Order: sequence, then C-alpha cells, then structure tokens
Amino acid sequence: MPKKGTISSVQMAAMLYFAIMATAILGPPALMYTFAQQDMWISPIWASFIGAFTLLLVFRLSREYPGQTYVQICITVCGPVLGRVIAGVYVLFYLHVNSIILREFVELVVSKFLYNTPEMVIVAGMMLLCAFAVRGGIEVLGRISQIVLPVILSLLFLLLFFVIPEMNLTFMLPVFEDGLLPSLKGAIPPATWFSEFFLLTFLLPFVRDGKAGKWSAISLGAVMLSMVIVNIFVISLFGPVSGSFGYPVMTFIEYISISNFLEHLEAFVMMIWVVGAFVKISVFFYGVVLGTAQTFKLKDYRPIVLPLAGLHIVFNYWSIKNASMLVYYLQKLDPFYLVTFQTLLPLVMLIVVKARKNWRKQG
Amino acid sequence: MSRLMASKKTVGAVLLLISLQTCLTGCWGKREINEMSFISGIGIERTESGQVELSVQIPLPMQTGGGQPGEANPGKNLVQSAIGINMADALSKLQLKLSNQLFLAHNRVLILGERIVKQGFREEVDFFTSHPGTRLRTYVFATKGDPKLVLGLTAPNERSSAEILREMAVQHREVRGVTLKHIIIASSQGLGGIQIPRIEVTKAQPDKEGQTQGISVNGAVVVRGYKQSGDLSAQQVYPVPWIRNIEDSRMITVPIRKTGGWISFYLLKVHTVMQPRFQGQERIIEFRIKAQTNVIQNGTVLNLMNTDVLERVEEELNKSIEQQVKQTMKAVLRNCKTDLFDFHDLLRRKQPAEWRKLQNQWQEVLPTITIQVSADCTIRRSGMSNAPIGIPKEGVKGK
Amino acid sequence: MSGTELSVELAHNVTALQERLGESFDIVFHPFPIGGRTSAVLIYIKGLTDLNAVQLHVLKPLLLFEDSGPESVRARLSKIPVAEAEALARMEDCTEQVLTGNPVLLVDGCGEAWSFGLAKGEKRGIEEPVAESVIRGSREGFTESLEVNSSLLRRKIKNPRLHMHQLQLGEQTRTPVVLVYMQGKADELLIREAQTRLQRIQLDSVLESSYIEELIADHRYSPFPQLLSTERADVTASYLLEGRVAIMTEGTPFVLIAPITLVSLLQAPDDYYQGYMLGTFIRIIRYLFFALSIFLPAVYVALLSFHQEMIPTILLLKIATLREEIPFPVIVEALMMELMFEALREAGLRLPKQIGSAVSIVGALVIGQAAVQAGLVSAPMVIIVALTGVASFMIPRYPLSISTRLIRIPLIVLAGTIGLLGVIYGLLAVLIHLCGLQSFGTPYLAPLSPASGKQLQDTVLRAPWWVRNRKSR
Repeated sequence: MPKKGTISSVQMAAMLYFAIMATAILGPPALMYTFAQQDMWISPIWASFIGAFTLLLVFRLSREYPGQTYVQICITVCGPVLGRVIAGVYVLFYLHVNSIILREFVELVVSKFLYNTPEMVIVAGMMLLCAFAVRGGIEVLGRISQIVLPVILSLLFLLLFFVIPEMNLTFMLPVFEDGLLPSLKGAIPPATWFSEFFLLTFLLPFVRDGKAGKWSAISLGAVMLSMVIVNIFVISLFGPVSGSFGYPVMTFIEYISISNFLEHLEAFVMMIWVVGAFVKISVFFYGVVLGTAQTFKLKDYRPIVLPLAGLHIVFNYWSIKNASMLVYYLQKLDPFYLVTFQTLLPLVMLIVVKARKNWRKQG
Repeated sequence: MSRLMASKKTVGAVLLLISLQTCLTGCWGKREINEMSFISGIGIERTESGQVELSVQIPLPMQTGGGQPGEANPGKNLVQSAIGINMADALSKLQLKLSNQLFLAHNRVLILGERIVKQGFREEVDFFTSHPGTRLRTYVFATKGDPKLVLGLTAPNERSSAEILREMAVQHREVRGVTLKHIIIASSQGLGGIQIPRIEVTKAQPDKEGQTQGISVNGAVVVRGYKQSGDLSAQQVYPVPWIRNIEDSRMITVPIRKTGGWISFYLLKVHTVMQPRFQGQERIIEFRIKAQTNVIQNGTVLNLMNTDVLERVEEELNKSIEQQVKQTMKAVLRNCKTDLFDFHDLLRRKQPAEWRKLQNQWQEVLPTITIQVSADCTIRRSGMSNAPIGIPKEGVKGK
Repeated sequence: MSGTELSVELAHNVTALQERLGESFDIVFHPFPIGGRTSAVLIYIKGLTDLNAVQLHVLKPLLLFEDSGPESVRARLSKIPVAEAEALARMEDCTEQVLTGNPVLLVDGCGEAWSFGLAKGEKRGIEEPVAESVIRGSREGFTESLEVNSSLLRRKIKNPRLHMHQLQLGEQTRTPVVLVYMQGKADELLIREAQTRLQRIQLDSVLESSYIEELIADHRYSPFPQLLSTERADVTASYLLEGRVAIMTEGTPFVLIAPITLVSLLQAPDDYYQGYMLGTFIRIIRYLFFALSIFLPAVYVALLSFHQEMIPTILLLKIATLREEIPFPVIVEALMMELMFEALREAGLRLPKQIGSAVSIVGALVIGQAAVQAGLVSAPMVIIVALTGVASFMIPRYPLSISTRLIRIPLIVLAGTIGLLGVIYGLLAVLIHLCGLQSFGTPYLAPLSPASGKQLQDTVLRAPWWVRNRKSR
C-alpha cells in the first residue's frame, strides 16, 4: 500500500455518515424525546448547526495548514512539547470515546441477541476486524464504506417501508407546543454526534479530488435527514412512550410484520447494523492510530495497530461499568465532553492561529 | 513486500480466530431447536392470594409417523401453568416443569384472565417490555373466566387456539387487534384508555359434551391505566373503528321506518373528524362522519335507482350511524369514564388554553362532555339489481 | 549469450550433438551425401517433423544437386523453398531447433547448420471448451498449441496494434510464453509491469499457466483468483480490446488475463451475446446466487441455533419435527453435509464421464434419500446444501467457485459459534480482504468501489450496446 493513500470525497462522505449514524440510531431518539417530546424530529435540525460549525472549523484549520491533521496542527502551533501534550490528550480522548462506542455496540449485542456469549469474544472479534481494516489503510476503509453504504441504506429503507402502515402521524402534533425551547433542548444529545464530524480532520489530508467541501456538506445533510426520518418514525410509532425504550429503532423493527410471516427481523437488522458499527469504530480507530503515529512522528503506523486495538478492549471494560452508567454517560456527560473536545477547543485553536497570524503581520 | 507481510499476518490471524472459534463451539447460548419449547400463547390470571398464574400453550412438534416423515398430526398442544409472585417467578417455576427450554419469541397472544383485568396488570406488561425475547406485537385479549380454558381448546381447523386468536386479530385490526404497544401507549400518560377484545369459549353444538368448542369475540373490556374501567357490549364496540378511522366494522343494517324492512350497507370508507368546542361549562366534541357505502341487501320495496328515494335512505343511514356512535360514546364516557378516543390529545392540539385549565381535573370533566354527531353518507352503488327482486312492479315505491 | 560454436568438421559436430541430445530412439541422425560428394547429416525428431516436406523440399533437391564445393552448397541451401530456413552457428541453437521439431542440416566443411521450419506436432482440433460452454456465441476454444491460439486471436482482431511478445520460461521445459496486448489500448504501465513480472519468474518447469499465475499474482495469500483463466478465444479478444493483457502458454489451452476484478469473474460471455434485458436479468440472478453460495448454509445454521425467533412459527415447527430424530447439532449436520457434497463433487470430476453419472446417482440416492430416512440428516439441510451447490455452479469462473467453498466452511463454523454476528464478522473479514486486494494495480472491487458511474453500467446491469457505444447510435 502506498504510504499516502488517496480517498475520493464520496468515500469520505460515506465514512463520516457511518461514523455518526451507526450509533446515532440507537439511544439518541429516546434521549431526544425526553427533552423535546413530539418536537423531537426538529431537534436534529438544530443540532446540525453544531455539525456545520465543526466542519467549518476543520476546513478553516486545514486551509491554514493544508495536508495536516489536527494532531499535526497542534504540534505545529503549540511547539513540540506542549503540542505533543495536547495531541496526546486528543489521542487519549478518541481512544476513550471509541472504547465507549465499542461498549455501546457490545451492550446492544449482548442485551438483545447473544445473552450467553462471553463479551470478550464479541469485543475481540470486532477489534480484530477493525485492526485489519485500519492496517489496510485509509483506502480500504474508504472502499468498504462506499461499497456497504448503498446496501445498508436500501435494506433499512426497505424495512422502514413496512412500518409505514403502523404510523400515526398525529403523535407529532402539536408542533412547538411549548415554543422552541423543548426542541432546542432536544438538540443537546444529537449535538454530541454532530460534533463527531470533527473526525474529518483525519480524513481530509487524504482527499485529493477537491470536492471535500461539497461532499462533507452532503454527508452532514444526509445525517440530519436520516435522524429526522428516524425520529419521525419513532414518534409516530410510539408517541408518548418513545422515551421508554433503550433502542427505539430496534423496538420498532421488532414490531415489523411482513405479511404476518416474516417477523422478528431485529437479528437481521443487527447484522446490517454491525457493519455500520464496524465502520464507525474503524474510523475512530483510524483517528487514534494516525494521531498516535503523528504525535510520536512514526514512519509507519502499522506496528501500533494491534497494541492500540488491545488498549481499546481494556478501555472498554474500564470506562463503563454497566448499562445504566452507559445511558447516564451518553445522556449527561457526553454532550459536553465531546462538544468541548471536538468543537470548542478547535475553535480556540483557530482563534489562536488567526491571532498569531495577525500579530505577525503587524509585527 | 510489506503488503504481502500484512496480508500474510491477516490470513494467519483469521485462521487463528477461526480455529479458536472451533474449539469453543458448543456453548455460548447456542440452542438446538429440538431442545426448545416454543410458546404460542400465554394466559395470565391473578390467584386468590394475589399471585400470578402463568399458563402457556406449547405446540408439540408433529410426530413423525411411520410412513411419511413429518406427516401432520394437527392440534397437539401442551398447556402448562405455574403460579409465582410475578411473571418472571412464574416463568421460572414453569420452566421447572418442562424438560425443554421455554422460548417466548414466538408468542403472539396474551390472554388476560377476568380477575387480573379487574385488579390491574401493569407489572405483567412491564415484564413483556423488559424481557428481550418478547415482542410488542403481541395481541391481547381478555377472557371471561380462566385463560387456561382458552389455551387448552382444541381447534378443528387451526393448529391451536392461539393461532385462531391471532388470525382474528390480524383480520380485524382495531377492534380485536389490540397489541401490547397499543396498551402501553394508551396507558402511558394515565389519561387515555383502550378497549381489549373480550373472548368467550362457546359451545358450537351444546349437546356434544364440548367436543367442538369455539372461540368468539364478544364485546370488549375498557381499560384505563392497566385496569378495567368498564365494559362495552358487542354492539357498543362496533362503531369504534369508524371513530378511529380504521377500515373495519363494514356492515351496517338500517331499519327503514316509512316502508318497513331493512337495508344493509357495506361501508367503503368511513372518515371521522373530531372537533372540540370547549367554552366555560360548555364542553362539546363534535363528530363529523363521512362515509361511502354500497347497498348489499335491500329488504324493502323501495327502488334505490330513484335519487329521491336514495336521499331518503341516506338520511336513515345517517341517523342510524349517529345513533350508534352516540350510544357507544355514552357507554364510554358515562359508564367507563375512560378517554378511549384521546380527547385529551385532541383538546391539547386544538384548544391548548382550555386544556391547561382542565388538565388536572380531566377525569371529572370526561363524563360531562357532550358529544354531537353528524353523519354524512353517500350511497355509491345500490346493488347489482335495479329494482327489488320478487316484488310486482306495482309494489315498488319510487319508480 | 555465448555458446559452443559449431566446428567445420561434420563428424565432430555430429558427435557433439549426439552427446547433447542423448540416446533417444526418436531422434534421427540421417546421413546423406549432397550431390553425391559432400557428406551431410539431417537431424530431426520422428513425429515432430513433417517428413514428407523434408523429403520433397530438402532431401530431394540436395541429393540431385550438382555439388561444386561448400560455397555452392551454401548457395543452393539458401534457395530451398522453405519459409523458415535459418542458418545456425551454435550448438545450443541446433539442439533447440531439433527439440522444437525443426530438422537441422549439418554439412561437412561448413561452420554452420541450417534449420528448416518444418515442424509439425500432432495438434488437437479446435473444439468447444468444456468448462465454459455458452448457449450462443463462438464455439472456438484454445488448444494446446500456441500457434493455433495466436492465430485464433489474430482472426478475431485484425489490427496491427495487436502485439504478441514471446519469451521462454522454465529452465527445463523452455516453454514459450506470449504476452498479448493491444498497443494503445492497454496502459503502458500495465504492459511494462506484466513484462517485468514475467521476466522475474524463475521456474524449473512450466506445464500449465497456473504455474505462472501464482508467481505473478499481487497477493500470495488470498483465496481469490487474481488472474482470469479462460479457454475461449472470444473472451480473450474482448478483454484485450478492453485494454487488458493476456498471457498465452504453450501446452495449455488456458490463457491468463490481467488485470481482473471480482465483477469480471462473475460475468459470462452469454451476458453479451444475448439481449441486454436477458443479460441484465441473468447477471442479477447470478450475483444473488453468488452471495447465497457464500453464506446460505451459514445463515441457516445461525438461524436454527441462535435466532429461532426469526423463523416463521409454522416453518420452525416443521423443521423441529423434521429434526426430532437427528442426533447431531445443526452445525455438525451442516459441516457433514458440506463435506459430503464436496467429496461427491470432486469424485464426479475425477471419474470418467460414464461413471461420473453413476456417482451422482449414488450420491443423490444415498445421501439425499437414505440419510434423511435414516434420520442422520434433516431434509431442510439437504435442500440448503443442494441449493448452495447449485448456486456455486452458477459462477461462470471455476476458480471463483473454489474460493466460495473455502469461505463457506469457516463461515458455517462462525455461525455455529456466535450466530449471525459470526456470519457478519466473517463476511466483513472477507470484505476487508477484498477491499485491499489488487490485480496488477487495479482494485479488485472496481468499479463497485472505488466507484465509477460509467463502468457500473456494465456491472450490475448489462447496458445495451447502443448505450455503451455512442458511435452506433
């Protein structure tokens, strides 16, 4: 594999879409309902502004330092020592976030499908796959997401089609019952996911066809639209009880009955979803691996892939103790944690960069 | 070269993974279907001492006969029951009675006993939503008496009584096809309610010692907050689909007062719009029902090809529908005191100010609501015959 | 390359050559006098040389020739009416010519030998390829003879830009191998890459093109074929016209084509020879069954041992009834049946055709009927395995159907271990591998990913010719 792989901007968009939607269809609909009730489908629209802002930050930063990831920018801007410390914090941050994503994945699989399988097998299998993919390089990741995206989307929409007769759109009314506030509050949980668009910083240096801007915007729009659609389905199927299921999407897929013959399709959907989760974890993992390599100026990141995969497995047990803690984490901490690291701190970084530039011009 | 190395290691690791898996095959939640009992129907009833009696219906695998393998031997079901503190406890006790592992995911029917409906079944529903193997699309029925009897029924034309109930539920979506999801949604805010179809075991031929028993749906139990709040007779349940805009309850037979006799209509499409008009003490909800019908049987001497006659008949039809809906609403609001048709939601949407005022005393407000019904039916086709058959020309009215 | 020069003395040359060629009954040293004066020896191999032509065009004129010294002999020899006559100066050339079947003439007093292109091997006629039959289309298959094969290609592509470069591979066999490409259509880089890869090969013997295939493939550890081997001249021609290169090897009718993609392995010539609607339909069916041939048994095992809730109740009860008396778990049953099926297939392949059908009857009767009745395997499992077998027969390229077998069995094991999750883990591993795979620098999954809209026309669909070819509109 050539050291510097190239991905097309379409592949980049597909990777970003997976990196966000794969887990965004699990918990967030229920979380959004608790804040926004029947206005929950509006919340992703508000939250997408965070995504747009994050994307803008990444592009601005990469315009200042073309071809550099955020980790490299940190080192360039803050000097080799402080910059490395910041970069290291970011690597740890992504390691932590990714291990929690891994936890979410395992939690769903174990609680819904394989009650008696040792978690270790599921976790290790997943991390091993991700390690293979990341070893293969960014090109392999890009190709996988591009090939898998149309398949997954068409299958999911086919399934959604079968839920349509069960929908009751009156559950969506009244819109803005208590004004804008509930839907704005509901935008807090999805903001977490939208801030994950910051991952673009690890992909952008490999996009060479000059259409990254357009396609990342399309990706953002697709994520927003998907969330809105999912939320419309959830609210119109479950109405006032939307908030009481851990995985509302899985629950309504369970409710599908295709001509009273094909029922209980959730295992099938899980199969599709695992592919999405795989891409998501891989993209985050790629960020961790690339970040580590760049922090320590390694020539080749491949030797550190497997050790870091092992670290993920350990972190995934350390960071979250049980399912309730996971929900608490996702609901209460995650928004601030992720938005801070992925949107606010980069904003500070951009301001620093700009200020310095001006200062230099004047001085 | 390094790529070759990478793929070599990849393949090596995959092989290692696979070989590891092979060593471990045989555990980890693998279930052989021969060692499982698939539950097809569940009945729950409260015992005298307040415990739960859980009964399950398990279809036995068809016995392989001597000749053809898998030749059907229909109607073999096992009914087992156990008593426990709650559902989970009862289920584990039930498991002790059976050699095979009980499997809930194929269950489609939940039958509630008479006592448990009266005393409330919230905890039992909670079991169904928490357990990962159960499903929300479980059709719920209430029975007079013991649910075990229904489960134990042998069905001549179906595999099991649970299967009969499921098919009934599927065919009549709203009256009978009430699922756990509907119940949970209706009971979620403590304001709404839902009707659960009530089934009875009937003897088709009474003299033959219950040999050919059947199940029939007879009215409904109205439930508010997982607890029975009243009853609806079969007649009172009939208009419910019209109000809910569901395509069911299609037949209506209307007496024609002027000439005597009856005309039966087939409702092609019924659409009801509800409009609240709350103002101070005046609490009115207006129902506007639009329907399109076909005549399927004309038991009068009227010639329905005549438009004047048709208009008169339409009026009779309107009156009949209005009357039926009113009766149902009376039973629902006055007797059951249950907000079966989500008026609270309606009010919240249409008159939020009024809703805020009445929010906290909704239960008291309910019986005071006046229902105004206006039906507007159009007869699209008046049957296949132009004039009443078998009546001499002179006898036909409205030529 | 230097070698031993021929000497002027005939006797010396003859002994030296006899030493080199060894004592074989079929190598003939035929001494005769040219014009009754100069002694000469004609060396040829029985069966490889066209004796009639030798007698008519070489022996007869030389015997009747009025000799007047070596110069006149040389002059006469240059007038012999044989197209491929050549003067040889070295021993090695002589042996090589003799071994290819060309008669070599040694003349006393000349430091040279002459070879005449009068080789004639026994050749198989051009037949329809057995492994790649089509309903409609050319019935010409390659033969073992390189010349016939190249002539078949020339006849299909009458274009001066069709270039064929020959080189010899195999220390022992000295097998001629030809690299074929369309100048201008094929990428220069690709041609150079193919040439260097071929030249890099160090082999003792090349008896089949698969020897070469393994050595020039990009990835050594892959169950997937990275070059396409075909017996059909029309297939080769069409790939050449698409700008790919072909490698022909003497002694085998199988021609290698590179680069290839997974999609091209799933295409059959029929797709193009029949109407585009039919072609598209068959192609979609083929993709579907290709997928089934990989994971159908695995999914069955996963459903039956982990996800029973997904099987419709009535079907499940039916299967439960049929499995009532089966002593094995589903996974064991599946592996057993798969192995039996593979054994049957292999046995059927090896046996002569007449007995082959007997094997399939025995297989169908014994495995299908008796095993089910004895309660060793359940009927649904037989159906699943048979369906998988049929699905794998639908794959037009045999090497790819071998790959599916290699993937299938590990997948069954994974499915029996962690259910559908295992299946999807396995499929993902295959996908990762495929995404990293390249054939002569071309991504294996192209044009699916990296995607190319134009090429997709001819991937999922079989676009009509009038769409694909703007000129013919």
